[in-house]
Amino acid sequence: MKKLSCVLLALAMSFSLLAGCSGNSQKEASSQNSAENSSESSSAKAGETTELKIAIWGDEARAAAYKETLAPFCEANNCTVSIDLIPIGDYFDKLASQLGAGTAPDVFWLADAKEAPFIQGDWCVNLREKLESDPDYHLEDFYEDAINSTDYGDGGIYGVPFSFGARGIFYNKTLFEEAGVKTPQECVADGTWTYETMFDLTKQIHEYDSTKIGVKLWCVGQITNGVQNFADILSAYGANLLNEDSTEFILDSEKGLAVTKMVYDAIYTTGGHAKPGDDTAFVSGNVAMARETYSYMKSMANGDIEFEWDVVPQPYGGEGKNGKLYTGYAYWCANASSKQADLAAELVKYITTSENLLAWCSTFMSPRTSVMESDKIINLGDGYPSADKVKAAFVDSIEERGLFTYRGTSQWTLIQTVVEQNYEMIWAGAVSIEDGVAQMKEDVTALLD
Amino acid sequence: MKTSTEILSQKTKKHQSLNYRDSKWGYLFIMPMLLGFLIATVFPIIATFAYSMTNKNMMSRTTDFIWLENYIKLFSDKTFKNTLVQTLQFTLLLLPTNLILTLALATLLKDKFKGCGFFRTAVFTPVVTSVVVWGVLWKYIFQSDNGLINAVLRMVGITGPQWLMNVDLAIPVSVFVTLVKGLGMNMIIFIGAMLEVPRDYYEASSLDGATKIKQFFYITLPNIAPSIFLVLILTTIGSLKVFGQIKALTEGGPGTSSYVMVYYIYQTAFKNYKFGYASAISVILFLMIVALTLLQWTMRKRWVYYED
Repeated sequence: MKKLSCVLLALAMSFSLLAGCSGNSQKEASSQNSAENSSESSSAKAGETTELKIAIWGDEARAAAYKETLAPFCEANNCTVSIDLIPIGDYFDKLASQLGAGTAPDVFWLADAKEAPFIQGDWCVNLREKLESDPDYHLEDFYEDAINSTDYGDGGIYGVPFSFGARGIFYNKTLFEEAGVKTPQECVADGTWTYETMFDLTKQIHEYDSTKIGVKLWCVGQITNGVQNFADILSAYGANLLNEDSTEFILDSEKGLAVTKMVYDAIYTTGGHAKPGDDTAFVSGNVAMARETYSYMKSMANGDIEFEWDVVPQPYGGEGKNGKLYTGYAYWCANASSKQADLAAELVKYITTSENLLAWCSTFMSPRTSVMESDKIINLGDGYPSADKVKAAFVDSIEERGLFTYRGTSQWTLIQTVVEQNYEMIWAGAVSIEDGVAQMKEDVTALLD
Repeated sequence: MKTSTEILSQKTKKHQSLNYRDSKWGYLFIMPMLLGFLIATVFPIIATFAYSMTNKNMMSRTTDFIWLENYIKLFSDKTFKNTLVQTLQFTLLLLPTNLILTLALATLLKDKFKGCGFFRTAVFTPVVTSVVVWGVLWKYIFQSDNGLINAVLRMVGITGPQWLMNVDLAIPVSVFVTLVKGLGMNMIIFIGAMLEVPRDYYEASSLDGATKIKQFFYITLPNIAPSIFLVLILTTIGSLKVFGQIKALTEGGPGTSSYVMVYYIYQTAFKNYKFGYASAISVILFLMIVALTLLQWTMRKRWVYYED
């Protein structure tokens, strides 16, 4: 009896171990074959409830809200959705691992030029035909640049952009009043809102209280030397990291070097700018000014904030209104290797209709004309800045200055890595600005297509 | 009637049958552990060796055998060479400081006195803390602007350095954080070993006029040599495999100045998607650890004293 129970225990432990190791084995196939395969296994089979897995970044409230938005879709398609929240810092690594292992979700987000390797690796369904064939979808409602931004030469739409837009400068009104320093809003009103002015205000705040951060140019959750952190200020002075089609490194121009020095001085010479590696959030009340996205307003409005805050457009530089503002796009994509690729594509189509993007416009600015011209983009309710200030910061600034984006390349992740590393060496004072940028040029040029 | 040979043969067979039955049960009981070891350890190691000879990329659906190309590429990879040097720097900084500090702590705390339990617990507590939590905590302590250390220095009029954004300080700070975390475990090993040293030796040496210091060097150290050897091997292997602290503190920065082997493997595999190349680096790390362990194992015959 004793031996029998020991045998049973050993077998049970072995089975539990093997059960834990089982995973979804997804066949490697072209996106076309996967779509054909998935149509056989879709919820078209009567009585079967399919589960669609979705990966996004954000918080539990966002996941719950998306489930609510997708409820009618689930009912109509006899399916359920499960949402996997992955912190944005680890998102692309984890997604890549999952795709390689065959355990990736059916639907996922991509963003900020990092979509290129996923699209070029045939991991995303080409949605063009599905979207064009439905007149009620109004594909023409999308901004042309945005909807075609995932076309890497074959005219496909591999991701539908649901979020884009300029960032604004959030500032701590209470701190400015306590310090007796002119506010950014006052500078906007009298036409003196430039980067020079912003860094001067930064210095004043830091002199008033050295424990406060005057300004932070990197958004919450982003790497402090990220490519996109300095894109706006570079463009404001007629410089940039890469040229328009991302085929040439141009930061080493006279203007590029001057801007890099301006940021370096704000960090180390005049002081007040957050030090690299410092990710103190604006919501903490210890940061006087921070550049953040439109969706950050929701975090502020819903947070337990003990200070007054407001938003203004990004400052001007030497180029004035000609200095374009940087935007990245975030996309909804359907996994081409999923067994439910067709249903996943349907979900992407559903969630990116005009109605649904409008329903989410208090969180994401979407590149649909119907969304951008809606009042709901700027009238956000209690706890938010007034409609005219939101309009000035996030809508009018786009109209006035225009947007640019970095075109993703197959090596974009590597390019970002070497840019970040070289910026770090400059900020750490290990190399001069000129040497640092020269090394960055060498490293980036080797990776450009 | 059976011959003696037949009887002996029968007894042998019975003995072998008993042995077989006993060992059969033994294998059955260790099967869960064995399966786990095979699936989670052995097969991935074999797979790593195989992947190291391919161009496997996580974003690509096809993989080709490229034999030793990855290894040849390593010779011209400047980042790999720097990473190798930095890893060895980390090990050389950690090893002696860890050894000296843990010996000192063990010597101080091995005897029972009022409050020794509190101090032993205090030193051991970081061992049971998660590496990530530990790293993130120290990241905020070492933060340039409002970190605890620089805030305290500011109170006395000193402007602290950028601890984690300084190419010369990134590795030493990481070593410090690793050191403080690992002190407790090695201290416990040494306390156990020191308590095993026969009291007679100390009494006899006291009668002969030996000082505490001489007792430590001539009695304690030789008698705990096997434990020192164990700690040496474990700390060496641990330092070559360090990752969590680097990821949490510096993310390999500034630039690549605090890249260590495992972090470079992680960056290559999961950020740059070059799985094949990362596997080749993993194989090199594996060979390094094996070589160092074998070297230490060989050297033990010279300086490790075993009573028997």
